[in-house]
Amino acid sequence: MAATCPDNLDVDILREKIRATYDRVAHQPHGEYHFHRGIDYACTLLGYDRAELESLPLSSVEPFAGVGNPHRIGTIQPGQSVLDVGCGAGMDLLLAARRTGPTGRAIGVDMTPAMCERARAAATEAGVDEIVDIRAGTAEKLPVDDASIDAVMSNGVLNLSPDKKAAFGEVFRVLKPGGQLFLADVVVQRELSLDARSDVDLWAA
Amino acid sequence: MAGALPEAELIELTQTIGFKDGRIVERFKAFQGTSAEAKLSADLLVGSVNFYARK
Repeated sequence: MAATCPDNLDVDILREKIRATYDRVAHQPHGEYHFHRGIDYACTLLGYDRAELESLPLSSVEPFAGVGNPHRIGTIQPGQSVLDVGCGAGMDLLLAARRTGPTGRAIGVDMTPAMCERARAAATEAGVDEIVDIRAGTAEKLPVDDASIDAVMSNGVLNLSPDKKAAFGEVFRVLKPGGQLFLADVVVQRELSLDARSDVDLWAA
Repeated sequence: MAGALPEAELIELTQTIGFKDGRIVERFKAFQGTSAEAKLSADLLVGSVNFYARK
């Protein structure tokens, strides 16, 4: 079962590798990576609205490295509490903040300090810092109260979790009854080999 | 990519935890044209999806 990482995989090393990769994305979004980033990718392959993204701070859009589009799954209503697990530089979170508006709340959690800093700065630049709350943390231990969230989003992040049962359990814990999960993530058609799942470099690829 | 769940396991895991109505609602070619696609995706059958569930 792929929900937990192999026993021989050092979780601390894995987290550090992932943190280093996304720290580099935060500082050098135009560098060389195994995955796409930025506005053209988001609009062309993931169906984001270009005008909407062009209205956001570049600092939140350029490092975007999601793999789907949670905003196409369902609608965030005014006044709702939204959580973005692994919010990165904040692109999806800022879109959510605009939708939930001044009576709502948009919480972003990320384990990479540079991404948290970018997201905070972008929220201020976008004028939604009264709505947005960025918190340092991991998917397996969300710094969020029980049953406090109407909609949880995540985009390209939970595949990086070494303990997916714990991560999804946390998402379930923080959602209100009836709350919704809008998840975009990497999937495979069959379970990968143990060798592949034990390769730290391949996790962050 | 090596941490990605098989689609069936994603649905099963969310059901086990207690989510309802879990389903894939859209698929994307997020790795199209990347070095990851060239080197890895074809072998690993990697893709990306939008997935919905509710508590």
